Amino acid sequence: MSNRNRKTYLKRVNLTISITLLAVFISIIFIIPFYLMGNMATYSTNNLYTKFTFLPSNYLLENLKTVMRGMFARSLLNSLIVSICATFLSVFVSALFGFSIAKYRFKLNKFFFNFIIITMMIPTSLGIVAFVIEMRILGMIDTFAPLILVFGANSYGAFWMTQYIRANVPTELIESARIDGCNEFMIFIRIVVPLIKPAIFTLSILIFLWSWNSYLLPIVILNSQSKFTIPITIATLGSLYFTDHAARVTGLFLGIIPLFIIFIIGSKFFVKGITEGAIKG
Amino acid sequence: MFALRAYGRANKKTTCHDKKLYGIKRVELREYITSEVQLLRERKRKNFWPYIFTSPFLILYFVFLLVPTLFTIYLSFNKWNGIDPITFIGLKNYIFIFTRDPYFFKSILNIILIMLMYIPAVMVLGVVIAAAITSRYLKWGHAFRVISCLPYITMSVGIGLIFALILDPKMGVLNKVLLYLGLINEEIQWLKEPYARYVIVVMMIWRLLGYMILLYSASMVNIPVELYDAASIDGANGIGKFRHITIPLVMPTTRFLLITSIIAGFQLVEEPLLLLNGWTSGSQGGGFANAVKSCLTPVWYIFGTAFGGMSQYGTATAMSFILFIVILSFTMIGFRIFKQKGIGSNE
Repeated sequence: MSNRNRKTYLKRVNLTISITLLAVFISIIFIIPFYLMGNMATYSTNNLYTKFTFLPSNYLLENLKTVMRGMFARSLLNSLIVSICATFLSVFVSALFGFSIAKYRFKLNKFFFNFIIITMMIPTSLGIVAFVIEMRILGMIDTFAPLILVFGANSYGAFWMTQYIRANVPTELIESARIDGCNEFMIFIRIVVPLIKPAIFTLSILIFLWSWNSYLLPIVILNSQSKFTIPITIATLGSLYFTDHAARVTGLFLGIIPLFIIFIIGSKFFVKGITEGAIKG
Repeated sequence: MFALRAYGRANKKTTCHDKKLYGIKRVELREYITSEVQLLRERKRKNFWPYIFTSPFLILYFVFLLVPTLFTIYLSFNKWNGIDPITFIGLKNYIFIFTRDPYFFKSILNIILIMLMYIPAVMVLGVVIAAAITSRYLKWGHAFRVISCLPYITMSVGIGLIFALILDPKMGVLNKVLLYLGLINEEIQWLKEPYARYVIVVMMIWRLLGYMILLYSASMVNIPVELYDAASIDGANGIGKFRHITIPLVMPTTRFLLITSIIAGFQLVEEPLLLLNGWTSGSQGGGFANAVKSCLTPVWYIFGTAFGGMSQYGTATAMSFILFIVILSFTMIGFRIFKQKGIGSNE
């Protein structure tokens, strides 16, 4: 190996090592709080104060039993119901809206498109006080309906679907299906939906994340404990286990971990989804 | 229709004399007319479809977002506690907020101060780290991105509580470690007055950094390698390339991240609420009575005003409206600074 080549080779090795070290260091910073939380969940309340170390203890199962005795499983189920329904509704409504804006010529086409662009910029959490009052009038307090239906009006999703369908669904295909006598709605189901699968997947991920993690809306809509979603249950752990601090930590751990597992399994799609979701927007 | 008329005229001229031919053409003409009529009818019917397709979105938007927004504006000119009849009081809510309300403008100032600390930090760190990991020197770039995104996908409620857990003066790990290392002599009250604000800044940096890295690295991947090669030939070093190629080319991402961060930052509430209130008292509904006042955020305060016992819906909605104007003007300033078409540009 010539001297010059050797030099660049060494430089490359140095850079590789230093960047890898940097990445490992940052990863540790990202993980440590979660690790500490998981670690604390393995201690009993007494030992939490006195004998706490960085290594896990053996009390996890007991803590899990304590937490599971409460409403935890129930609120997991509630969260799943709300998030899955919200995801389906939102994706379906957005895709339909996007399809009609992207592929039909009608009078209000341009107006609707500008409408969603403007509404995207309106911060939604500001109408929340009036939203709650309206739900009270409509009798939807303490039901899942508002938590699900509000995601149907996701202008971000609608905008994104419009752009995706415009770029990825050839109009000729729709025309030819129409000539073959396909109903407009069946065109949507049979032709458009298969073509926009990636967008559907990405949007589903984003909506699921938003819905699963949302806290402000559920806490003012839901009153009875049997209807609480995961974030509310986690937020009220303090009053649920007033003395049992270990159970609180375990509850928090249990609330956060399911999404982590899903995230890590589908990480490729998730990362792609978050990226595309932001770049396209 | 014009085509049809033209066809008819042409037909008459050329075929009137030839009876046989005339007959054939007539049949064709009839077919043509029926098909044309059918097409027209179909087109009319098709004009219905886009309205049917857009209606679910529009109905849901109307009921769940537009009506609340308009109701917010209406209520802000009224006095209402949820039980008594709504009474119109004109601008009194606004006058109250501007002259006598103790915390609303303080909360806006708080959030601006907090944002001034965490948004620049997280964006600079994000772009630098993204540049480091998108270079070809890192093997497990994907794993790193997944790990760095974990705080971002965690529910904000959880983020607040985890930090409350670690910084808890008695139980928290941080004080224990610092005591063990002998860096401090007594437990520090991290969640009280001088520190709490900086705790929120650190927490937000930790939460958002992965997202920034992810988006920046996604936009850096699209920068053509030839640019860097050309710069290398011209003798540019790594820092020079980063400054003169990477930074300008990720400008659209910077713009997007900055504007969305500001919009989201103004609405920050769950993390500080749970950090300062959740673990100790487990209170819900957003009471702010025993909150650290330097960390009170606008949405938190609005929530407390509306649902924290007093039910001052009029005042709360007026605050929402003011906050909306504030956010809108900051967004507009953001767009103006970058002097480009906005998030929703159609290109």
